[in-house]
Amino acid sequence: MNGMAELDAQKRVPGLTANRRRARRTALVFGLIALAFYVGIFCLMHWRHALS
Amino acid sequence: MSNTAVAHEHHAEHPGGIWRWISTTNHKDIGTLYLFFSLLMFFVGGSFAMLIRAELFEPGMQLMDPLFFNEMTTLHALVMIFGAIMPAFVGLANWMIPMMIGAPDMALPRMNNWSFWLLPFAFLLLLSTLFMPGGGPAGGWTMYPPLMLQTGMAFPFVIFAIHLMGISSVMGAINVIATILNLRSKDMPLMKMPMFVWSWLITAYLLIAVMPVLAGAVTMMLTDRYFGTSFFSAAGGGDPVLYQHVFWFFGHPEVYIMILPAFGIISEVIATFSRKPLFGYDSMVYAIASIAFLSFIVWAHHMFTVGMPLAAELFFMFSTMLIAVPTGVKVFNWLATMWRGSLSFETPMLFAIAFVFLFTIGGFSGVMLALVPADYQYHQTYFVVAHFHYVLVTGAAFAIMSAVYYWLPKWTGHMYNETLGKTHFWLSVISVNVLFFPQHFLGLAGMPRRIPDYPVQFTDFNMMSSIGGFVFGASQLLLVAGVILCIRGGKKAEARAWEGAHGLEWVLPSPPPYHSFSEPPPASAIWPHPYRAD
Amino acid sequence: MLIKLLRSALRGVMCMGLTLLPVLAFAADGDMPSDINMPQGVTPISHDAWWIHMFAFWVCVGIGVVVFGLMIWSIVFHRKSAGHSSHHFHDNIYLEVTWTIIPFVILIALAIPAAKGLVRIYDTSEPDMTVKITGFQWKWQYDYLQDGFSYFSMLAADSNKASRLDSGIDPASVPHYLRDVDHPLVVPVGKKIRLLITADDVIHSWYVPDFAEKTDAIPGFVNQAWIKVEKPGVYRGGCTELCGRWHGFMPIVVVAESWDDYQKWVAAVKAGGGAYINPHTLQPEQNGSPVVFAPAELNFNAPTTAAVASVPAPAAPASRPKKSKAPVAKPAPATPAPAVAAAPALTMQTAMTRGKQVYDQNCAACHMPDGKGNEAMSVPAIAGGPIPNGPLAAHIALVLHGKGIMPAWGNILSDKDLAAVITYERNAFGNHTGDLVQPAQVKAAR
Repeated sequence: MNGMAELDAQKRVPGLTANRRRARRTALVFGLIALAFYVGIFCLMHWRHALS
Repeated sequence: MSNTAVAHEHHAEHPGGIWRWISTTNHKDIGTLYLFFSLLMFFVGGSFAMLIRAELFEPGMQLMDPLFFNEMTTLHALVMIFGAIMPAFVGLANWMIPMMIGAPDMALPRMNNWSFWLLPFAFLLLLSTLFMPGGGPAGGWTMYPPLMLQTGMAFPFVIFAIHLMGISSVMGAINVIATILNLRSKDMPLMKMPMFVWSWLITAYLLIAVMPVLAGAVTMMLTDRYFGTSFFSAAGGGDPVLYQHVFWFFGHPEVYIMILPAFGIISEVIATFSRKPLFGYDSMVYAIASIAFLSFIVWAHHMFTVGMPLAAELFFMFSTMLIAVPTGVKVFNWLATMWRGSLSFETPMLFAIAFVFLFTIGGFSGVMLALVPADYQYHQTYFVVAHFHYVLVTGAAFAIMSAVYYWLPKWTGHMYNETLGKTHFWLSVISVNVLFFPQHFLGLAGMPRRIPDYPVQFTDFNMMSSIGGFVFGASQLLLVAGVILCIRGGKKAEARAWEGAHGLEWVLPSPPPYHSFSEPPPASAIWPHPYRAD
Repeated sequence: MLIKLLRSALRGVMCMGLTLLPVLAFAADGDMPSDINMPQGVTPISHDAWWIHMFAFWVCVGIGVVVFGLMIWSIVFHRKSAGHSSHHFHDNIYLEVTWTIIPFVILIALAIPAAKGLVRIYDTSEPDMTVKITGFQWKWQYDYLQDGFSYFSMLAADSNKASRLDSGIDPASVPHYLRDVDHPLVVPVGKKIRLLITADDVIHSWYVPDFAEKTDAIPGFVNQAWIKVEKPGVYRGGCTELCGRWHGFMPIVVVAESWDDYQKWVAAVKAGGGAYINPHTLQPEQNGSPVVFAPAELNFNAPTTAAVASVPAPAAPASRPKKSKAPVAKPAPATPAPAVAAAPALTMQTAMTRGKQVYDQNCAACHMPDGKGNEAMSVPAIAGGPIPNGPLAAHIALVLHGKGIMPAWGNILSDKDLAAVITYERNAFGNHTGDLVQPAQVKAAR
């Protein structure tokens, strides 16, 4: 169990559970954005290749 | 206040020994790991630089084959950028951001662990290429094809190492964003965040936007070599210059990734030792944001000589020059922060002042480089080398050193040895100028960069530069000594280690408890905000 | 010596604004660099560049004096130890707006001359002559398109020798160490010369500081630039884009001569039978690679039954192998062709001779001069390799169209050169297929 989960279980920081859930969602969104950029650069190059 | 939390500290079992560090999910442990890793890489990359400067001490080839020299310049850059400067900033972010925004830890502690532990393997892989048939990467850190395609066995390993570094950086950046956006104290609106936090929030966006682009570019090169594609091969209908466009679309924001957190640090340090609130907080935030935005539309100024259309050259020249405006705003704001303050000159402040001076010199040469007709002369000469070392060594690296001295008392609970710190500073600041200032002259006289041997008329300045380099390299041992001594003992540091320091991190005891804020900080600790007297 | 040193030091101070006296004091002996500032140069563009450089420099000095002056003032007078207490002001909208607008205005002042200069750089119209420059690892090829000849220019032998690891030769004893070539580019003064710049293998960059001319040489693409040299003289530069192991060892020397002298040089080259003519003495050079004449070399596709027999005079020495260490190839009639079908464009002997040249020039960099390939780069061996010893059609197709890092040579080499090199690969390095490829076969396979 990591430190955050411990604290969360102790319920000492108000709203931590909800904040951690929101944080996970934020992370997922940005992770997907990064992945989309990675795939996107290939699509862009492929498209540019098709143009020339 | 949260000292009460310290009593509840050691409920959970924390493994000891090496396993503690491998399995840790604590932001301070991970921050420490990042910082020590970065220090190690600083010396690895530095030793490559020493070899480069030794070979360039006088004309003629004395020490190494030209190909090995190229491997050294390539690895020096890769190690310093991805191994020393970026992890140092991530380490500082890990240590300080939760404490500065009143959070108990980073939002995603296990991902945090993973993003650090990818790095040692990435660099092991990268450095192991030196021992492979065909040698390490020798095409420069920019890895332009077709030259990079001539790399030996090392080629796929370098690319895989870059992927690992990229994944690590992106995860680190995601964690920073998730932490800042979700775990901030409810009494701290965005426009009241410490400047360091602001600078890292924007840096994290940059990282997420551009690291995948770098990964994409090197992957395309990989498929060009092994899977018969021809993204960058003219013979197959591709374009080698396209790689440069993609690379610098990553590369220029990358430059700001290495300097924006430095801006944040300098803003903290100068305000503290001027015993004044930071001047122009809002404009500082807008300046960082506009620099970050502009960084996406200036990339081709790294490639003015590749034969772009005239309109493109004009566009990139003008957009590049625009960057001087927000950067100027930042320098003027620091100046105004110092103005009529009550200045004292402890080591962090010395490094911060040197940063403002020397970064500004790097900024001047930057404006000169933006002017295309003159850039035709400067491009790929030592003038450029001088420029980016002023920005990255006396800029980013000095800011990191400033931060280390500034927060060491908080991290360790001890004051560092001020005499040692000041000796380190003065040796560094003098030698670094002896090292890099003559390189302006070399560049203007026409000495190209990335050459292992040079015509005899460049001898004197190269000798100076090398001697400066050796002294600079050696004086960094004082940094190590200072840090180790400070960890082992010293005068007890108070919670507010510096008289003029403001911010939540100074509310916590020195050293801070294992979970930074296991109870949220009271609003009174945030208000009135140190940056604004309102 | 001392006076010279001091003068240089003083200029350093003036030129860069910020002084590093201990540094300048250190420069004990040896010649100071001939110049520590950008050269004013000898072309209209280099004057522009110098002017913009100096203008920007003094603007920076001006801003530096103000900014650093205020900072030093603050450091000296607003220190706590001097008893200064802090004033807690933290915002001033007028100040903020002012120091946003002033830099903006200064930048516009800088941008206008820079934009004008840039437009001038891009005006390559109406040139008086054109020279094509091709970068190779690690030499330059200069191709005089109007006059139809080309030659290679590489590091001078004495520099080359001295620059080797542990050569034991003091570089200072070598004249123009690393700045001298065997065959300089020769151009006339006062003429607008268009440069077409490209590369054969990796990216290079052709840079001569006195011309402010730096253009990347990119394989597969041709960049344009122009120079108009104002003063006769010898101008030196080098490659400025990292291009591999000997990147630092491919200098550029340009000899600018009056139009009359230039004409004499061109005439001498044309009459020289393939030897490079020294532009100063007008005497043929014995060392280095030969001058190659375009019509004979490039028009290999001409329908020539007797092409080999009737090579024009200048072409005979031109077909010497590079570096002139191999025996001179003789025109075909000297050796009767072996049993080949009637009217071949190539005989086995001519194909092998020509093929070796083409191979050494184009293929050896990756496949190695001994044909063993380069395992580390995953370049397969020619010697005993499956392609050169396999079906001919596949071999021709691979060379024509390329694969992976193997370029598509069909775009680069003529049918005859391709036929020659494929023949060579199939019959050299211990390969004994006995195949003789004719240009027509290559043409058919395109």
